[in-house]
Amino acid sequence: MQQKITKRHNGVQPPFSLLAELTHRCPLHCPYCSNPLNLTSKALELTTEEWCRVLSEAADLGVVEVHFSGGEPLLRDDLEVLIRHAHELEMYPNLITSGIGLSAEKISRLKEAGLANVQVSFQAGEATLSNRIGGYKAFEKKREAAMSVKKAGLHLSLNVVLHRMNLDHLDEIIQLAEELGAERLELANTQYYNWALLNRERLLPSMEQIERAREIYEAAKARLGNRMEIIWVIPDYYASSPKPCMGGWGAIALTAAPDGSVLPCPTAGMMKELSFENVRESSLKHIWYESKSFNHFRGDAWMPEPCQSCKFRHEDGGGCRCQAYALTGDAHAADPVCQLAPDHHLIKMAIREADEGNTVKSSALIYRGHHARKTIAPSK
Amino acid sequence: MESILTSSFPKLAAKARLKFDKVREKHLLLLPERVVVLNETAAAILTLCDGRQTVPAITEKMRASLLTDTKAADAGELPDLTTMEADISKFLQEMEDQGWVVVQRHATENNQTS
Repeated sequence: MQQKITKRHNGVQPPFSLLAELTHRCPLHCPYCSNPLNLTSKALELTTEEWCRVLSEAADLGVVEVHFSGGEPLLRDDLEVLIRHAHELEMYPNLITSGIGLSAEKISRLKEAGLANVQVSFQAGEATLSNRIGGYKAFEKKREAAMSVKKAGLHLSLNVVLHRMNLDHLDEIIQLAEELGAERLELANTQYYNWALLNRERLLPSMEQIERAREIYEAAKARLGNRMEIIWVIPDYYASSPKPCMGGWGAIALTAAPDGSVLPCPTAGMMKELSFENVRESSLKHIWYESKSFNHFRGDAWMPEPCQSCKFRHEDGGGCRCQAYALTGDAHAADPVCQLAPDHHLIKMAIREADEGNTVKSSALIYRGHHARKTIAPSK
Repeated sequence: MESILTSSFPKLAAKARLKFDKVREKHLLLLPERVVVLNETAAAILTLCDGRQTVPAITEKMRASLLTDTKAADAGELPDLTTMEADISKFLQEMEDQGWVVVQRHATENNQTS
């Protein structure tokens, strides 16, 4: 069968997971949000029927895990219906939430619908900083939501995006995860796209901060053993080689955006030179196997030098296409994070500025917002 | 280690789900942010981890199904019960270390969900 799939689809394997971004609406205003700068309005969101069809097509295609995300997916009043549908299709429903709106009653209903796992985001380990980063008084509500998840007997993951403003408080974050009884803690260093790129001067940590935090992470990992799984998503500006984009462009996962555009990764929509097909016009199967956008960066024929002749090209796939596009304006370029990339100086410059810390004082933090971008003056 | 397992009732962790994937024709173990492709034997053992039977009981069932599936002439080549139980215990110990199986001291009651 494996061979049949390969033969039929020119070597392309079926996807394992779907990121279902149900909405861009969100009560939080995190300045590192990975949603696009132009947020989709509620009026353009897929309907319940359309999402159900997307889920059915995903199951037929070979998707076995669905990550319900956003924005805040709890703002959709059909979340329970969609989780139930995914569960009935024997897919693994995972909820990625800010926790806002996740009452004890809501979580037990979602569990009954078949929810398997919950990831609650936290911005920091204590209220003041957490609320400042999220631009919303969310911390206590998040704590309550996380406790409800545990009470319902569901597996709890804490997701924390790390950056200059919270990296020095990593120990508090780990302590919070322990107190809440999280089974998994994902420490994701900020990746600089969309809102995060806009705020890079305020968010990019210094090398020293990263090193201190890494030591704290490693000590906690050793201490906690298999009591809590801790994941450290590397800060790729400080990595020696680029990350393979999503395990490869169109290789194992796909994203459906709130308006129905289908993307190889959550941030690919920013690329102006590619047009992405929409589930309102095409089937998921067609998009995965046949669309120009998904086939564009598959394999290595598209690669420029130095990638084309590089011995690591099958390990990192030329790095992240979105990063190449965001930093150089050319989605085909080698990921500037790579030390061999012609544009690597762009990364070195950003790091130098972060280490000097000069720009931090002069730039304001731009909060993610729906209509107007809210800004606050930098604090001392 | 083995003695703990023998008298206990292994159960698939709440976060884990077993699935036969018709598209890939493979047994899968679905976990948060992770999919594990299982071979036939691993899938059969994990299916029996319902928190209601002990490792010896699981071993007996595995052996019985192997005997049904195997031609009479090959039946003699099956490992003996003790070896099978040791292998299954070792596998379940690994599954527990990964956090994919929970080893309970008491059987799950019938009226208990999850």
